[in-house]
Amino acid sequence: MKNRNLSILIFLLLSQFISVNIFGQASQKFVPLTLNNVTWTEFKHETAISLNARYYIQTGTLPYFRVKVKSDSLTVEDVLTESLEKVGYKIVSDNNGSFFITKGISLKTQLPIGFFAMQTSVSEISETQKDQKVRDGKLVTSSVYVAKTIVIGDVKLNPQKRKCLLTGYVTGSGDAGPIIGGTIYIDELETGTATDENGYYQLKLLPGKYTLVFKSLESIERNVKINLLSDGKLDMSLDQNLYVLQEVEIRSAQEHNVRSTQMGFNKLSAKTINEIPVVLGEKDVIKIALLLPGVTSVGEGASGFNVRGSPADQNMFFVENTPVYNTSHLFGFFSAFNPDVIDNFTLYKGSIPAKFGGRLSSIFDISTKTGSMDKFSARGGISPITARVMAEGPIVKKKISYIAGIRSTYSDWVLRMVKDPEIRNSKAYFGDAVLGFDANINESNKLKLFGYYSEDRIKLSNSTSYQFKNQGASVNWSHGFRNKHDLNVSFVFSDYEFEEENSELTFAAYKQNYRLLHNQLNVDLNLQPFENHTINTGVSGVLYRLDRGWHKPLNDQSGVLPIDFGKEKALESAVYVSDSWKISPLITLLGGLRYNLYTYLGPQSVYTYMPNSPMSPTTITDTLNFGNNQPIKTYGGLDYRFSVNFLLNPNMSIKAAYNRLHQYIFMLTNTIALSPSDKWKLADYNIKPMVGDQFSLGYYLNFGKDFEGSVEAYYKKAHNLVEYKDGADLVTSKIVEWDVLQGDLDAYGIEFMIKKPFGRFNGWVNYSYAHSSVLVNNTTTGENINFGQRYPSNFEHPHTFNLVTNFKASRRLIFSGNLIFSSGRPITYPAAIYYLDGEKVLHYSKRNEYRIPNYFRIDLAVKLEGNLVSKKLAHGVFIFSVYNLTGRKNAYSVYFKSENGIVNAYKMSIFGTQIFSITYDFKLGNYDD
Amino acid sequence: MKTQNVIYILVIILISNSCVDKFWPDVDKYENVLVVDGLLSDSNDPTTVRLSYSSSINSGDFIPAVGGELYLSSSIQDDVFFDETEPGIYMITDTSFKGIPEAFYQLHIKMPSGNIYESEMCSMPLSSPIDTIYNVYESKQVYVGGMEEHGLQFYLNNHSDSYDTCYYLWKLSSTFKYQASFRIHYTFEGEFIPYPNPDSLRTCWFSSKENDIFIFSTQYFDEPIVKDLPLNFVSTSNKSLSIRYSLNVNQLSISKDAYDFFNALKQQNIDQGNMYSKQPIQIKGNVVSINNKEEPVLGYFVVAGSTEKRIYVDRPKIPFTYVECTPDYDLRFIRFEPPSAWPIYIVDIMFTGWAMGPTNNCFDCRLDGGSLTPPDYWIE
Repeated sequence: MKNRNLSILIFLLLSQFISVNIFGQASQKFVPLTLNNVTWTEFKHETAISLNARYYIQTGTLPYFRVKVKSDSLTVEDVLTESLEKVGYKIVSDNNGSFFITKGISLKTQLPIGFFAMQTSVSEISETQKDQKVRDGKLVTSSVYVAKTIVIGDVKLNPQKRKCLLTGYVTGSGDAGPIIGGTIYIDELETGTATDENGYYQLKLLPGKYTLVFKSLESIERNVKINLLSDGKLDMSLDQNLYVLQEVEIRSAQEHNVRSTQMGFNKLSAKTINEIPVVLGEKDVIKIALLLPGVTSVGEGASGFNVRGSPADQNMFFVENTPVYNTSHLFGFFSAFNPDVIDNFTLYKGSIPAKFGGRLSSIFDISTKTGSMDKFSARGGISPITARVMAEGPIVKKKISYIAGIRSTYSDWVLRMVKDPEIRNSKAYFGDAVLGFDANINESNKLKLFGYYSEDRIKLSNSTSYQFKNQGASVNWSHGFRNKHDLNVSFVFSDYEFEEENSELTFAAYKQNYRLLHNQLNVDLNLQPFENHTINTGVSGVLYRLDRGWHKPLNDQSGVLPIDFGKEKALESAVYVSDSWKISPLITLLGGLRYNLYTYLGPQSVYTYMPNSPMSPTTITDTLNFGNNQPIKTYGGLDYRFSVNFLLNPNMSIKAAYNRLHQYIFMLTNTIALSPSDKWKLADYNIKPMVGDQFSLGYYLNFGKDFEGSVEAYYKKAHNLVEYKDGADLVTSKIVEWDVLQGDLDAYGIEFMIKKPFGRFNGWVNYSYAHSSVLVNNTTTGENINFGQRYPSNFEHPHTFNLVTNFKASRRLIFSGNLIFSSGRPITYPAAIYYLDGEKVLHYSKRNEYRIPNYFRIDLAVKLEGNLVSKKLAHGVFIFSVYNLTGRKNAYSVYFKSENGIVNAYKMSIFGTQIFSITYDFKLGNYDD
Repeated sequence: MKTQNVIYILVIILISNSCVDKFWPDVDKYENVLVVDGLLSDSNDPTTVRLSYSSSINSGDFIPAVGGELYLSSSIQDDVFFDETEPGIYMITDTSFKGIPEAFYQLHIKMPSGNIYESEMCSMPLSSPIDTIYNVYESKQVYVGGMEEHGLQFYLNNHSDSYDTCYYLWKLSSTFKYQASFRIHYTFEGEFIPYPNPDSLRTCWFSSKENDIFIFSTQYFDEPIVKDLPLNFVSTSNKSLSIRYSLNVNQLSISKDAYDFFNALKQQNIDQGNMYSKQPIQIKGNVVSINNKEEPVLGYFVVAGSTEKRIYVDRPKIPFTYVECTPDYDLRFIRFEPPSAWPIYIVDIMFTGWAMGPTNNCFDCRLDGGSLTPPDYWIE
């Protein structure tokens, strides 16, 4: 089949693709629902912009039709096939955003073997024909081979061996016309050029033998050996590279493993989140994040997680730009994010973009779904613990949409029916809600309003009760300039508060509260001013207002003396710029700077202390009083971001990165796992902000049909880590600097990951080797922890292995499973026993010298989709899952206790048995809708 | 209904069934450290210091530190020397010596190795009166997941006229009178022999120290008053309350440092096994090594003002759950028992009743740890 009639419709767009642009593969991106029912012309225009799609139409025109986009997970090819197949058109795409629409005859995917302007022997051609095969879903019409050396020019014309000018014209095979933006790469010199908009190229080279590699988006690579003697001409014809129509795989947008400069980066979509089995059928982004390399936790049910050997307070959580300070429900058993509303989450743990700051270890960025602009839809589910429902739809069609999700437990009701009094008298309620409005004001302006609420009310058998509340809201406006640049402005508000009531002893019954208010303004600008540069710049300002709360008597019978911990205020502002510069097709460099200016503000009274001595009540030299909004202390800090990507070949790269970050807020905690009543505290007059550096180096490889592999090594160091002194009492520690010391954290590790993101059988497997340790030894004041010796961090797991798999047995039956292994966390065991008044007492000495037993778990889930009848009101899914299939009693902790004169040792496990659950999820409409 | 059960189970698993199993890990490191455990008070009890060495967690033996030379210096009295009355037990044998409130004391130790240890200078706080000790019938789970037990919870009220802030350590000891389940009427050794004194092994008095550390400070309270402070809980699942029970409370007024020491020990022991437990630490006492400042010394030399109060409680009218013995033999078949089973004790009225096997706590109360004679302080 000749390509004579393939005409290029959107010719001008091609000029944007002069460089080899392999990002934004339109054939793999989903068509937004907003394009439903638009005309072909609109569709063409929209997808050309948003998806970089190009269309090649055989006949030049198409019949009038409207495009139907029935779900948000359809590719351009799916959408066009649906509309055009019935009228006899065929759609074929390559992997690079080109769509070929042919009429009548099914497109032959075999194209004539291209031939060179020069002679090749008949036997060579037939040999290459034998090599024809289908590879990676692509038809390879001529395998890469090297022809005989072509002699260009005449040695007599260039006796001085000056540089020669080689010119040429590159076309597609047949009559496809010039190839624009094709590359000509000189193997020996590792350099090259590209063809211009007419298909011409020029190279200035010294005479000699070279191997030229001709390549373009839509054609097959071709290698040519030349012997250049003087100025000359070499025209080239390249074969089209078309897809064989086998099966269409729907793929979500994804960051490219090999090509992006991102390191230590994981992005997971709602689809993946839904497929992984979790405890009690409660889909949970944080539990899923724990299956990624470098992410661990102190133990099951512990809140927060540890990224690459850092404490949990070095992670920041954002939902639609809104920070969430308490990410868990029920003390950490569940995460506070409704899974139905989540579109995807991104975890940055290696190179954190310059637009994020304020946390040393990671940024956990959750994107919620955008409500459908076309029709009402709802989904929800019931698990043994919660019920949830989510609704979305247009307010003004194609202009304004909403999405609302709510989740709540019914455990209160269940608990009341339990006979055991400890449980019957307990209460555990939690719930969360999300509300979003999206407005497409016009082509270049979008507005998103987002609100978040979560609440926990827990009462433990009549003596302790907790109430946690998180509220957040953001207004996000984005503005696009000439389809190239965009401006994002967001105003963010977040409020975290808790209250604890303790009435274990009537006369000592107390109540304590805490509140943190976070207001933030971000202005973020993405620019593409020059070719090969992507610049991100902006400013951000955060106003923190903390009420460290009261510790006061609960009632009249209580004789507790009230303590007011006081309020704190600070402004953290930052200005940043980063540039991702594609120096050559093979090297991309990213550099960024972020200047943070942190000001601790009054009203406040602060103490000054004698220099070089411990900060304690006895060393106070002066008290400084500051009025409202008066700067007390200012810390400036420059963050660096640097990363580089060397593309070794299209499927292999090496990346390196260095990051420096500053953190001005930390969690005051003296427990091994974060406790529910731990409070955030700001860096202040006497407590310095934390500074962290991370170096990472990685090797990335895409192989096989769909596999992505990576190896990343990192080394990081954090300074001014805040640790409680031995025996400090949190409840009464009003003047924090008396009770804490600042030290250093060191962590290093290597992470191996192989991922198969798509296909009937998908999943990932990873292994990490990691170390993390803390040193607190202030030689000037003589204060230290652990006798001034380095000790392993509480959450150090040297070996971790995670296997996550999904197998689609059929469209209605999906099996999935996890296998998790990790070495036990460090623990302190007694060094001896001694006697006091006849009682045995345990003597502890050095920290974390031992480890608890290794952790091992297998989870399985079976997902049963409802019937696939095309027209029905709702579609249901049953998920049967078992968590901890082997029932292994994994240790959360091992401890010694002196009880009635005897020392006993125990192992505590949180989920010491198999946990079966059934979850029912439903949605309006059908399977794929 | 069935689904509801499933849900209960899941929730119970989730919330309560974080299971705890006995598990003894390999602990191969061991620190051998000197332990000083002493108490000086203004009571008439002899001042005693126990010196020992810490032992391996796997053995847990008491290793006395013998041959020490100890003396006490003070701000108002002459130096007083200790005698080693038993291995590792050092006492001021001069019965006329007792501490004087508000004086300063310091303990000096010289070990045979030549190492010298000293306590900090400690002032002896004034004692405070115990106002009342009372009890309330309560039922509670003595351990998590256990059955509910009935019993008496003891409480204490006190006040201080001397200080604005008080620190207390209470040492509790219980004594109770109880009876074995049966009287012995006869013994059987081929023939029935009348038992001379059927009640002789039946009634006993049992004394024990309470293991828990009872401490409290009024530092976070408006007034130096302790109100309704829970002491021990005495369950009816044993015979403690079956006839008459006595609780003796020795209230020691201690320094803030001593309080902090005992509080740290107590909290550290309670805290282990909590989901949010703290990193256990070395708890430093008030004795240091003079030769080597780095050498850890465990324990505490407590200097305290002392008050005591004893109360008695007769069998309360509350549910008792302890179980009396059931006899081993039916009397009708006793003649078929071989001589190896002899002597058989006939513990109930002849011809209608039952018999017990050899030596047994069902008729010999001493085998439950008690003594047949009441302690000196016992008042009926």
